[in-house]
Formats: sequence, C-alpha cells, structure tokens
Amino acid sequence: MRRVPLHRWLATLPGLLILLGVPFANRVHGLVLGMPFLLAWIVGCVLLTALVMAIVGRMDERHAAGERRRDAERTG
Amino acid sequence: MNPALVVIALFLALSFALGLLARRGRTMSLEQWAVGGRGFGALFVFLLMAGEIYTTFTFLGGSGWAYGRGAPAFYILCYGAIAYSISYFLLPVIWRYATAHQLHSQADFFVHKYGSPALGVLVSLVGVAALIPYLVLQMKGLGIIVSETSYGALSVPAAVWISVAALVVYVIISGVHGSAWTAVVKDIMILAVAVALGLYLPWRYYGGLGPMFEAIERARPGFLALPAKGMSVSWFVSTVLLTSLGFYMWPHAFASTYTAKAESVFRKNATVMPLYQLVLLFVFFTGFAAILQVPGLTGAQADLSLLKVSKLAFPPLVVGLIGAAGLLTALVPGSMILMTACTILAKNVYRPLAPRASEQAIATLARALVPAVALVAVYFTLSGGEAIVPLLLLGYNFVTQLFPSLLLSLPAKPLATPAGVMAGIVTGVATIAWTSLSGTTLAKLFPSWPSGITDLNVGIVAMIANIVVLLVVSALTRKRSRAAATAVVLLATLVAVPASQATESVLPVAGDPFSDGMPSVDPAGQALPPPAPGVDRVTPIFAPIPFKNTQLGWGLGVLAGAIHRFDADTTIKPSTGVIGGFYTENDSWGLMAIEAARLAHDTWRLRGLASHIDVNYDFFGIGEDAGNAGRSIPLAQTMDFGVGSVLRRVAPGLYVGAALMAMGTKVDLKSSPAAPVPPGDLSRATLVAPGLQAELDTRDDDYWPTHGSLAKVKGWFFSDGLGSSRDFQRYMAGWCWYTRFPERRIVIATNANLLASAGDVPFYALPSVGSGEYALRGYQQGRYRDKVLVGAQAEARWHSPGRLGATAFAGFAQVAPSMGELPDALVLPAGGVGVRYQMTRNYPMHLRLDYAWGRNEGLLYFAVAEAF
Repeated sequence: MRRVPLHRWLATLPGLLILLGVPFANRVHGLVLGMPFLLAWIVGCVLLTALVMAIVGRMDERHAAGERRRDAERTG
Repeated sequence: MNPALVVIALFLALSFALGLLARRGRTMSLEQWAVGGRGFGALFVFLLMAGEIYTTFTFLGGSGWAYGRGAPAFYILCYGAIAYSISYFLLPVIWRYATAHQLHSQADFFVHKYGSPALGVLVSLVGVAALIPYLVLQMKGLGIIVSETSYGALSVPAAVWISVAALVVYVIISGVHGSAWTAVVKDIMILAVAVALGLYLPWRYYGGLGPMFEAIERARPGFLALPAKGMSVSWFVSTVLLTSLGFYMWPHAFASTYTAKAESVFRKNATVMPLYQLVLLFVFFTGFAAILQVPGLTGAQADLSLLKVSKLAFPPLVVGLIGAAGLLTALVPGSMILMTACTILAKNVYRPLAPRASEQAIATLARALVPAVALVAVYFTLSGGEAIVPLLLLGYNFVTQLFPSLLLSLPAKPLATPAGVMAGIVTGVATIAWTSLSGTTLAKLFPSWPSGITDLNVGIVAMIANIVVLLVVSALTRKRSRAAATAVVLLATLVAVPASQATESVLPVAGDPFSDGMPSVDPAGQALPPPAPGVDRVTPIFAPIPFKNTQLGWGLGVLAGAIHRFDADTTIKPSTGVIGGFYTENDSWGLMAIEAARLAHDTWRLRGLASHIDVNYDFFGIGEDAGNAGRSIPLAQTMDFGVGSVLRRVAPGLYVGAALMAMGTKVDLKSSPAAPVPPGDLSRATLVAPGLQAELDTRDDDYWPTHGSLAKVKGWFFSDGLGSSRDFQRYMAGWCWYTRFPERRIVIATNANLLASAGDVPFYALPSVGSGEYALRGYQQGRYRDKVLVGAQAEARWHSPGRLGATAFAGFAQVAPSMGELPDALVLPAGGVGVRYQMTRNYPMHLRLDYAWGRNEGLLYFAVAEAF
C-alpha cells in the first residue's frame, strides 16, 4: 500500500480544532466581530476548512504531477 | 387573500412551470427520473448538493434552535465542515467504483461491494426509515410557512395538507430536472433572504451584532455558551462527530455523488462548500434577534421564530418573499427526499423480492408510492410534537449506522462479512429505534454516571453496539477465526448475564393457556420432538431440556415419549406422544401428557393434553399503567387442565376444527393482600369452553421455517351454561411469514398477532405481553396485560454451514382495555440478539440463547426451538 502523503494529514486539522477545541472555547466573553467567542471559534474553523482543503487540493495536484513525471522517467 | 399568500402562490406556480419545462421533450426512464443522467457539470452538482443540504432544517430549524436552545445550535455549522473534509477523500473512491459498475443507488453500492442482495434491502430500509423524519420536517416547515404567512387564515393542519398536495404534484410533474432548475432559483433566493434578515434584524433592533449578543447575554447569562449539563460539551462533540460521519450516508446525498462528471468536482466542493456553510450564520443571527423581540415561544414553537420576527419587522409583501424562499427551501429537498424514498422502495426493496418485475412496472410503482409515502409523512407531521432539529437528528442517527459498513467495504476486498454488516446495522438501528420510541437516555439509564458520559448523543452508544456486533459476527462468519470468535461471544454472554436486572424474574409458562389451542405446556417453548419425515414406525425420544423463563427463572424440563405413525406412508409428517415434567428455581413444577396425532394421510389432526401445573409468579396488575409502575405481588397458582381438539383438512395446508377446554384452578396470595388482584379471581374457579380454530400452514419446516407462512385463528367461549364459573370469550389471530435469502443463509421471519378477550375475564386469562405462542421477548411475562393485545415482530436468522446461528430481532406490543383504545396505547418496543446451536446434525432444532431489551429492562432467554 502506498503511504499517505504527509500533507494530507493537514486535512484533519480543522476537524480536530472543532472536536478537541470546543471544550476550551466554550465561553461567551471576548466577543469577536460582535459574535460570542464560541461561535467565532467555530466560524474560524469553518473558514480554515476551506483554506486547508484548498491547500491540500493544490498539493495533491502537484504530488500527482510529480508521480506522473517519475513514472514517465522510469518507463522512458 | 393577503399579499404574502399571493406571492407564495406565484412562486409555487413558477416552480411547477420550471418542472414542466425541464421535462418537456423527454421520455423519462427511472434512471433519468432519479439520477438525471450523468451529464451535469460542476455548477449543477454544486447546486443540487446545496439544494439538498440547505433545507427547511437550516432555515426554520436553525433559527428555531438558536432562539430556543442558544449555543447548542452551533453544531449545525460544524458538522458540514468536517463532512466536507472527509468527502475530499471518501467521495472520489465511491464515485470511481459507482461509475465503473454503473451503479444508481446507495443500496447498489453495498450489494456490489459485499455481494449480498439482502444487505441492499436492509440498507434501503434504513435509508427510508431515516428519510421519513427528514420528510416530516420539510412538511412541518411548509406547514409553518403557509400558516404563518396566511396571517391566521389557514390553520397548521390545513396548511400541511395544502403543502403536501403541492409537494406531490411537484414531484410527479418534475423529476430531478425540475429540482435542478428550481434549485437555481431557490439557492439565489435563500442566500439573499438569509443574509438580508441576518444583517438587517440585529441592526434594526439592537444597532449591530455586538450589542445584540451583549443584550442576550445580559438577559440570559450563559445562553450563548454550551451548558454544563444536558446539551453540554460532550453532547456537542459527540453530535458533531456522528452527524459529520452520517452526512453522506443519506441515500440521496450518497447517490447524488454519482451524478458528478469527474472526480475533480469533489475536490473543488471540499473547498467551496464549507464557505457556503456560513450562510447558516445569518440564520442564527435571525433566531437570536427574535429572542428579545418575540419572546415566549417554547418547545417546538421556537421553529416559528424566524417568521414571527419577520412579520414584526416587515410589511406582508416582504413576508411573502421570505415565505416564498422558505417554500422553495422545503420544496426542493422535500421533492428529492420523497422521490428518493419512493425510488428506493420500488427499486431496492420491491425488485429484489420480485426479480421478474419489468422496468415499466418498477417505474409505475415508484410513482404510485409518492402519494402513499407523503401520507405517511403527513400522519407523523400532524401527530408528532417534535421540533425540526430533533427530527433531523433522529434521521442522522439512523443513517450514521451505515458508516462503519461503508468504511469497511472500501478496500478491494471488504474487511467485514455480509452477515456481520447486517447484524451490526440491525443492532445499531434497533438501539436508535428503541431509545427514541421509549424516550430512554443514558442519563435516565445511569443517573449516577458523570454527565460527561450521560450527555453523549445516544447515537454513539448505538454506533458502538453496531461496531462490536459487526466485528464479532464478521469474525464468526469467517471460518478461520471461528473458535476465537466463539470465545468472544461466550465471554460477552458471561458479562451480559450478571448485568441483567431480571434474573429473579417470574409467570407461569402455562399461565397463558388461552392464547393457544394447545396450551404452551412445555416450559421450553414448543419443544416437541422433531417430527422428521422418514423415521421408523416408532422412535423413542428422551430429552432433558434446560430453559430460562422470565417469571420462573432457570429450570429443567424432561420429556419422554415416542414419535410414531398411524400411516405406513413415511412421507407424511409423523405423530408425537410424550409425557413430561419440569421444575424451576422458584419452586414451580408441572406434569403433562400430550398426544398430537395425524391420521389418514394427515387429513385429520387430533390433539389431546392433560396436565397439572403448580407455579409461583409475580402479578403486576392490569393495564399499561400497572405494567409501567412495575409493582408486583407474588402469587401461587394451581391448574389442572385438559384440552382436546379435532382438525380436518379442507384444502391443502388449511385445517379447520373444534376444541374443548376444561380447567380447574386456584390462585393464592403469597404475601399480604394489599394488592390489586381482582378479588373474584382469588377463589377456586372451574372454566369450561368450547373452541373453534383454523390454521393455514405452508411452512417448509416446523422448527426452522425458511419460507411459507402460518396463519392461525382461534376462539374460546367460556360459558356458565356448560358449568364454567366465569362467562367470557377469548380470541386469537396470528400470522407468521418466512422468507429466505438462500445464498446468504439468512431467513427473515415476521409475526403479527392480535389477542382479545371479552366478558368476565379472570386476570390470568387476559392477553399479556411476553407469554403464549408468539411471545415478545424483552418483557417479563405478564407484566403488561389487558383485554386486548396487538404485537408484531421481525427476526433475521442466520445459519452457518455448520451448527451455529445468530439472530437479531425487534418488535413491539400494545395492550389496551378495548380495541378502540389501542391506537392511543403505549407502544412497548423490544429488540435483541441471540445465538443458536443446532442440537442434532440432521434436524434443524436449536438451542436458543436470546438477550432482549424492552422498555424496562433486559432479559435473558434460554430454550429449545425458535420463538415463532
């Protein structure tokens, strides 16, 4: 089995920040952009998901291109 | 008609027109109708998926929960984001496999991966079970919108009926193309409306977001953070985890991934969709803005908050536009859900059972089911008081049970066996059904446990049970590791037995001789010896039979007798004559003699029985309230009875006949008489009754039927004219149906029955849950008893090529003082799992070990032969 490329683990970050972070972010005060802190934390995580998935997608493309080049060199 | 309703009606007409336009010039096959071909580009897939994900749930439910619950509503924002990051890896794998194998439905995927048509049917049924609450919540939303925007002109039930009619018409004229076009209009509108409301209302009433949240915090401190108990942090995290895993397990979401043109669509969506998710934020703001402006909406009323605050802030015309956005938001997903449920029932449930049905017939059935499924949803919409969000959480809890099976199917060779997967799913779903029907929570079951554990979403418990059963049964059904797995099962049994709170249980096995023409005299159930065809003229039998009864406890029965023949023809099932006795740990005992004869090529069936039984058991009183209270008094009952019956074959498999029962009995209190025993029942009684009975038996086997059915009708007429000291009647109608999936070695058995009594019925002749012929497992025998009883159960029975078997079963019963009161009677759910061991190599008679959970407790059963 092929190893999972390291950058793919990045995709777990937003989820972990929600599942493990919420217990620590569970408060109202410290309004961010007018929102309660807990809500702001969650919004941040959602935005981070989009960003992280864009990065992972870009790196996957580059990774796949690299694999193709290596395959081509090996066979050629 | 007010302007708001006019606007809404115009949008409804527009969506009908779009549906008709999209359909014009096409002949629709079922595939087009449900999947829309495979030609949609990224934009349409995006809109379709968004259309399905943004529903009434977010619009009214999201704002309603923000209004009524506060911070727990934020979970809605979280799970989508996590689901999308999972989808990046999961969906391309599913899509590649589905495209390569030309799959259409979610069930197809499981059928192909595990090579099991039965699994496909199960997955489909779980999907439909989950879609129903999802459909109900769309209808609730539609009803709320129509009734609120009518400014009181239409009541909620009237609005629901109108909405359903609109939904059904829309689905029938449009199919998926209509959905795609309406989804374009809907997505633009909902975005505009939600953002406008979410920004405008806080600004108008509070001067901005910050001031609004500060005002709420002042009025209700802590409302904007998760509470310490109840919907606490552990509820939040477990719910987010479950719902994100369940996100793509919805049959429609799963199948809609097939419509993508290329894998890259999913990669793009994983980036874009989380951003779209933020639309929810504005819906929350609207709900929060309503808190201090339209206070006082409690419970499910909170779902009205968005429309109530809109009506406060805007003129009717604008309210009409908001309502129209809401209408489309319910109509688009509502139509998808309705269509998906009907397609699944026709294609993935009906077709495997009727493989010769034509494509045309399947398509017609799918369309014909639309109004039927809609009516079922209307029933739940009008009868249930649930708010929108809990309804969706229930649906999620169902579909999430498919996730472990999906995950284990992804490698080229699935890591689980079909039997394991099915057992796991049934266990998970049964746990969910049981907890939601009985309102059980971890906090109620284990009040002393820390709230960090008891607040967990109960779906987690179902998921763990699912995974454990899945792994154990998978291991059992893989040959190599069978020994190890058997050890696991035994160990689990040892753990489960002490955990049972019901080991000191108690009622007589024969305490319900009335449900059955042949009283179930044998403590072990119906453990008559096997009438195997082809045996010699006389075969002696001797069998010690250990058993566990819910009232009598552990006991041992001994049978001695002979299988014999009156016919020389050995293809006819033989006759049986036995004498037997039993003794149990609570000092109950009995003796009996039975002859069941088949004469003249099985044209005549003669049965006779005589017995003396002396049993100790607990009496709980009569009626569901007495059963719920769970208070009982110990009784001792002595019975001497005899029964004889003559049945004549009138058509192949159909026997009709008459019977006579006579019985002398006495009931004694074993402790102080401060108890609800009907005083008249305590004296000695002589009961005499003629009876009529008919049975239609097309089963292939008496002990392990794999196909056919057994229908029975019986009536007993206890009459003082014949010397009976009580005057009453007792009726019974029962039906069992069996079908098999031979290649998977699985039998599905179902049973439904109705017991009724009328007149001066002594308590021990009343129908009771958990006793008699088709006893529901999970209830202490006789705890729930009343004049009328209905019950139904289903059981999946799996048999290995060797001697082992496993089953999972679920059912329910209701008792009521009269037929008319049955619909309102408490539903007593039950479910459980069991293992089987075949006692003789050539005949499928099994030792049965079951553990069943009912409303009040879990109970252990040990006996010979199946429960029905």
